[in-house]
Amino acid sequence: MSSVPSQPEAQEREAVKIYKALFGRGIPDKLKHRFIEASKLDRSAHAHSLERYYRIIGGVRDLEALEIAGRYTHKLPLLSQRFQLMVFLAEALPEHRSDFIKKRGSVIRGVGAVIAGALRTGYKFSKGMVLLRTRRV
Amino acid sequence: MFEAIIVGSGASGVAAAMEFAECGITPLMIDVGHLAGHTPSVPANLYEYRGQHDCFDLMIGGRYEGLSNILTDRQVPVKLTAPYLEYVTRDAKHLSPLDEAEFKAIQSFSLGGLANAWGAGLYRFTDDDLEAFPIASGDLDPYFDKLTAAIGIAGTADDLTPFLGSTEHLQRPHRLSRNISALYERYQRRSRRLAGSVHIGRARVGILTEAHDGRPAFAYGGTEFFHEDRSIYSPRYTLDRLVDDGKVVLHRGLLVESWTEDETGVRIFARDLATQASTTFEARTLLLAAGAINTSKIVLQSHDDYHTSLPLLENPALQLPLILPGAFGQPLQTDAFGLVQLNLIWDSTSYATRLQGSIMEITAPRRGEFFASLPYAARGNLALIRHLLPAMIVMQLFFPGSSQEPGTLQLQRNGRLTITGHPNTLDLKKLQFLLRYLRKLGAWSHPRLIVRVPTGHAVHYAGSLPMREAPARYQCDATGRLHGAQNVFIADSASFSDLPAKNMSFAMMANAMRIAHAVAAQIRRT
Repeated sequence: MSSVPSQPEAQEREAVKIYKALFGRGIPDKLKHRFIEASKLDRSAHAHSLERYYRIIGGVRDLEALEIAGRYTHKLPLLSQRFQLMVFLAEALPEHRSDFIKKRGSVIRGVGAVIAGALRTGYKFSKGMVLLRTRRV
Repeated sequence: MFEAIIVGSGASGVAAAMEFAECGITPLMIDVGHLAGHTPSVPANLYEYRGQHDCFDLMIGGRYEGLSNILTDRQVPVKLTAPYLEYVTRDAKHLSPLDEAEFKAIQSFSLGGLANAWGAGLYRFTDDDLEAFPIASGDLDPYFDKLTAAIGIAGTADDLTPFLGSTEHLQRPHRLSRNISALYERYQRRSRRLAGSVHIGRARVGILTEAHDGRPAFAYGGTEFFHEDRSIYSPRYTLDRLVDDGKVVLHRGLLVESWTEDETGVRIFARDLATQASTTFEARTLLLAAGAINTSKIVLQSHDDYHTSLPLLENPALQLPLILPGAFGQPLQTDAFGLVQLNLIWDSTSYATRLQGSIMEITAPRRGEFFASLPYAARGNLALIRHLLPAMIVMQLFFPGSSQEPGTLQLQRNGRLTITGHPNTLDLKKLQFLLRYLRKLGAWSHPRLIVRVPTGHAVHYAGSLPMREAPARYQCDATGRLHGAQNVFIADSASFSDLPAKNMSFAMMANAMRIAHAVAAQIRRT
């Protein structure tokens, strides 16, 4: 696998922001290191588009909103890919087990999560569309 | 000079070797034969283990090989993303370079071939399936019986017996998961009142439910995607034994390129991958079992043919997520059997053909595999993974190869193969009947959720050198003998006359044994 030019600070910021968008807390060092290592192996990311990508996400606080809007409009595919990368890496860590697998079943909590997720998605998508326009993505 | 050389160590090659051994012939088997590298230690239950241990080695791999689908252009089916299976597709792009159009071929140069990563669905071809072949089920049945006894196949007599054939020698079927058991119970209660064109029954899989031949029974630990589990049959186990017993001579590290033939036998030309030197072997007979794509390449190279386009069949397939509203809110079943549990046969009037579905749990893959295909924003998708996936199963629906125009395969002068396929354009509207039927069984889906499997990713390649009653060039006769050759036989799925909507592995193995038996008889006669 070939590597892309290293941009340590931008990569670190990216890891922190994506993790926060996904899990709402600070990223463990081990995971940050793995995310940066894996990102360097990404063949789909070319130096030119990577610079633009880091510029865009560097100026946006709410990456979850940017990602959902980008996903549905087929803009910023790299951001969606990096979210998925973080999910795969996080899943391998024991402290993330409860983010992926619930121990006890509850229909009420499940229905609540699905409804809340739909509402949140609507809000994030609208916000993301504005971000895409204002950031000229 | 060897009496027989087998090229390829996959399911077909090993089955042929088994039959040769029984006929008292010791063949030379030649293959690249990559072996598995480091395999991480295995927990009893992966889901329990994950709560206490870092599973990076097991699920991602030290070189991030488990992320190849998102980090590289090496796109492989989900099971092949498991780090320990990296060896299965290792070097394939260099050893058999392809120019693909609308086709994503998966090739293996590992010892045991693609069967190292199979789901072990093993289904007999019946006379209906063999309609276009110059052979009948009676020609394959003795070999199906032998294989069933040797491998240890789980299954039972049920509504699918008329479609899946004899139940003799079967081990008891696998324990059904909670979700799939609920669906099957509804089917059993209501099938008489429902349409008779759909039949559901237990899958037949080469995965032990009882210890057999030194291999353990399946342990329901959710680890089936992440380590080599000896309860799941691999032809490599049979090959190891044949080699240990001196019944096969195995030569690894060689890539067979071509052959020539004269009245004394066959001369095989191979490249030693360590030294890049050419090497030659002589045999009275040659059985090609390198997989349909590579067998065809060897045939075209042997004829210096850069013009002919050979046909290439594959089963078009759909992936149907099925949501079970009745199971919503339950926790994930962490000890479910993650491979095929039930099969569905649908004599479809809308598609005017018979289709076969494989119904399975989605507990075996990493949860992250589903993240990108769920519709919510990131945190919502994580919630869906926690709350929705435990109430979800999946059905892979296979169509006959004749459902779409065959692809083509052509050799270029630079040694590359051009494979041209056709995009999967299966009409989802014709699924309405099946979706309604499944709803009555408590499983809900919608055409918008259904995924068309990219052409090539069903990994059922066949029919490039088909068996015919009266074979022409690049076809073979009913014994697998290639037209125009005296001692060259096609022993893998390249010789299939057609590709029914059924996993072909078992028929491929039985047919390879049948061909080896005929070749052994020929050797004995001369």
